[in-house]
Amino acid sequence: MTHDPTERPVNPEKEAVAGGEGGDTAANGRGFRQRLREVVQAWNRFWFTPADPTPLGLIRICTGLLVLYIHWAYGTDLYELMGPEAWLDLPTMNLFRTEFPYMKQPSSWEEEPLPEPTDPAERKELEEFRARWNRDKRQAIALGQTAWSIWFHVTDPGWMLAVHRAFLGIMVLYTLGVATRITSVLTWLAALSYINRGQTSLFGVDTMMNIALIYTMIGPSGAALSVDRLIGRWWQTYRALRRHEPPPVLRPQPLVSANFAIRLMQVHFCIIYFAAGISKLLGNSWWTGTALWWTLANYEFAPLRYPFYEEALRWLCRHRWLWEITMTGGVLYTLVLEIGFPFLVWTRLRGLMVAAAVLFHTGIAVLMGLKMFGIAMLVLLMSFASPQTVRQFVRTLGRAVPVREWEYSATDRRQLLLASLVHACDVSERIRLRERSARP
Amino acid sequence: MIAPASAADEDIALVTNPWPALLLGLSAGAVAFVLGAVVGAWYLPKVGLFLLALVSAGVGVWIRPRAPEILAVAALTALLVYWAMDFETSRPETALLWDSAQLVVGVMAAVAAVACLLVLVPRAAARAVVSVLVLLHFGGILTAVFSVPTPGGDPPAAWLPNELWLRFYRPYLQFVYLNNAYHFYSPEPGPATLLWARVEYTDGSSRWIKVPSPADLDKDPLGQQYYRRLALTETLNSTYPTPVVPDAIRHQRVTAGQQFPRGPIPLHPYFSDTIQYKVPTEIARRTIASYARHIARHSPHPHDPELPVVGVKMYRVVHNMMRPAEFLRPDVDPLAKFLFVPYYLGEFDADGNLKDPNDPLLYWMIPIVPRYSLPPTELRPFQVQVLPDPRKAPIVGADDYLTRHAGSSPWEGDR
Repeated sequence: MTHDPTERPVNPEKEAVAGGEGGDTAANGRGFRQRLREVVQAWNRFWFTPADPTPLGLIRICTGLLVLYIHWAYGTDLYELMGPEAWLDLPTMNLFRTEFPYMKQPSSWEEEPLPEPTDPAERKELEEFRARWNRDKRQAIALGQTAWSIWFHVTDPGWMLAVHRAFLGIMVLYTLGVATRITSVLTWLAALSYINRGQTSLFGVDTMMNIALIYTMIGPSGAALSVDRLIGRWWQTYRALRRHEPPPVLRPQPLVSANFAIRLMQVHFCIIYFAAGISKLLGNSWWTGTALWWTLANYEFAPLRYPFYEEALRWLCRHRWLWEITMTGGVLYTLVLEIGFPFLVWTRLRGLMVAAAVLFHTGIAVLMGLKMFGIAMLVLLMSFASPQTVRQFVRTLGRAVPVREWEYSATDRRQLLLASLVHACDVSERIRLRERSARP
Repeated sequence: MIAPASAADEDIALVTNPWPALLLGLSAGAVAFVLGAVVGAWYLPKVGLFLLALVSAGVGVWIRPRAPEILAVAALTALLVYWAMDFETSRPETALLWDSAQLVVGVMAAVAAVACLLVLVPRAAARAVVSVLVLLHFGGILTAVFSVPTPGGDPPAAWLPNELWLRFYRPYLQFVYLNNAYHFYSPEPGPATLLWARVEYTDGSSRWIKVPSPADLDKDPLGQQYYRRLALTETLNSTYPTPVVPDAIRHQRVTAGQQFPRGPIPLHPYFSDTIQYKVPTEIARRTIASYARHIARHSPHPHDPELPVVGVKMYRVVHNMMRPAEFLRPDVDPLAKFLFVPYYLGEFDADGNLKDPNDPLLYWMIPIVPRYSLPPTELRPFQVQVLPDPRKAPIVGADDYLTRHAGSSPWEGDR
C-alpha cells in the first residue's frame, strides 16, 4: 500500500497555525478568517477532490462476492430464518417491528409516575400493553421500527424461493457491475430484507456487508471494473475506430463522487475501530491481559474441535511465561491497533497500520472462526488502498497475456466491433490495434 | 451497460434519452394510484405496476442522474406509488400488507427530491449541504456508539447521546441498519450461549434439540449458517440485571428443588444467587416463545412424524471456557459437562404458550456440578457452601441435575 499522491496532507490545525499570526485585533480577525478558509479548503480537499474510481470498483466486486456468498448460504435456511414459521416467526417479528416501545429518558432527576387514566378503554389498552412489554405506553417516544423487508410481506414458500433467486440474480449483476446505479440500490434493499427479517440471527458480517453496500451504492462503483464501464469503453473505441482515429486511451476519469464514497468508508472504518478499541477498556480481561485467552478457548468459535489446536493450547498453558507474553501481546496488539488506527492511518504509517489490520482480521478469521466477518473487514480495509496500487494490481492480472497486435479492417463492421471489444477488455494495455488499410 | 455509470461518462453512453423510461414509470405510478383508489384487492397486478413504476424511474435517473427535471419526475413517480400503497396501509385490516415497502418508496421519493434540490443549487451550496449531511450521518453513528449501557453504570447509559438517538437519529439509523455500537468483544469476551430444548411427544418419548448443532457447520463451506444459529441463541442472553434475589423467590426455588418429583435439585454451590437467577427481558421472552413454537412445529418424532408435540422444555445454556490451569488437567476437556451452565426458560406447548408462568424453577440455573474427589466434608443441602478449592482435586464426574429436571439426558440422542 502506498500513499495516494492526489491526497494533500490533511491537518487543518497545523496548516491554520502556519497561516495566521497577528498582533492586533484586525490581524487576529484576518488570522481567524485565514484559518477558517484553510480549514474549509482542507475539508474540501478531503471530501471533494476527484479520485480514480478503480478502488471503488474493486471494492464493489469484493463486496458483491461477499454478498453473494452470504445470501447463497441463506438458501439452505430460507424458511427457517425468513419464513412465516421461522425461528423468529412472523407474528412475533410483526409485533416487534410495529409495537416495540422506545421509552423516554427522564427529563428531570425525579420523575413522577403518570396518573392512571380514568377512561376504562384507555386503561384497558394501557394494561394490555403493560402485560406485553412491562412498560407504560404513554412514556414511549415511538413504537416499532423503521425497517423494511420483503419477507414481512412475501410468505408463500414458492414466491419466497422466486424472490430469493431474483435477489441472487440482482446480486450477480451488481458484482459484475451491470446497471450498477440500479443494481447497487436493489442489492442493498435486498440485503436489508434479510437483515431486518432475521434480526435474531445477525452478527458482525451483516453490519460490515451493509456498510460496504451503502457506500458502493452512494459512490460510482460501476465507473471502473464493471460491465457498465466495459460497454462504455467498447462504444468509445468503436466510435473512434469508425472515424479512422487511433484507439483511445481508456483510463477511468477521476470523480468527486468516487473520492467521497471512499472517504465515507474510511471514516466509518475508523469509527468502528475506535469504538471497538475504547469499549474494550471497560473490561477487566482487557486490563489483565487475559481477553485473548477467552476468545481462543471458546469452543463454539475457536477451532477447539480440532485436536491439534487443543493440543497447541495445552502446550501453551504448560509454559506460563510464553502464555503470558502471547496473551498480553495479543491484547496490546488489539488495543493499540484499534485505538491507534484511526489516528495513524492518515500519516506515513498508513501502510503499516493497514498491514497490521490485515494480520489482525486474518487472525480473527482463522483463530476465532469468524471467516466471513474477517473477509468483510478486509473488504472495508481496501478503501485505504491507493488508486495506483489498485490499478497496478489490476494491470498485473493481465500481464499473462503476451503483447501482440490485432489487425482489423475499418470497413468491416464485424471486425470493427470485435477490435473495439478487444481494446475495451484490454485493461493491461497488452494489445495494439492496427487498421489493416493503414499499413504501408 | 448502455448508460453511463456517472455523468462524467455521459459522452460514452449509448442511450441518452431518459424520457421514455421516465414517462413509462410515471404512467405506471398513475395507473397504480387510480387502481388503488378504485379497486381494493388485485394485489399482484398492483405490485407489478409498483415495480414497473419504480424501476422505470430508476432507469431514467440512471441515464441522466444530474438533471433536476428527471429527478423531480422520479420523485413524483415514487410519491404516486407511495400514495397508491397508502390505500391499503391506512386501513387497519391491511395495514401490514406492504407497510415496510411503502417506507422504502417514501424514502426513495425523499432522496430524489433532495437530489433534485442539490443539483439545482450552486456547487458551493450543494457541497455545504452535503457536508452537513456527512456530519449528521457520522453524528448519528456516534450516538449509536455512545448510547450503549455500560456495565453497572448509574445512569446505565449516557443521557445526551441516548436522547439524540431516541428523538432524532433512530428512524434513520434503523432504516439504513447503522445502529451497531461496534463494541465487539467488550467489555469482556464472553462465553457462547446455546439453546437446548427437550421436545416431548404424546407417547411420552422425547428428543433433544441443540442449537447450534455440529451439523450446522456443514450447511455451507464457511460455516455462515452455524454462526447465524449462534446469533439466534445469543439473543436469549438479554436478561434484566439481578442486583438481589428476593427472599420469597429464593425460598420458593429452594422448596421446589427439595420437593422435585424426580429427586432434589439444589442451588449450584459455586455461584451466587444473583448469577443463578436471570429473568429474560420482554423481548427475549417473546423470542423464547417463538423459538419454542418453531421447535415444536419443525421437530417431528424420529420414528412417527405424525405424533403431536405436547411440550418443549427450553434451556439457555452458557458454555463456559476452560481456564488455562484446567487445560493442564487430563480429566477436563472443553466439552466437560460442568462447563455447561443451563438456565430453565420454561416449558411451552406446541403453540409457544408458557405452560406454568409460576413455576418456581423458572429462570433459575439448573446446576451441573463437578464432582471432585475430595476428602468428605459436611454437606448442607440447599445452601451455598464454601468448599475446598477443587482446582487441584481430581474430577470424577458431575452431578447432572439438568437430566433430572428435564426428564431425560441431553448428552445422548443429539439432533
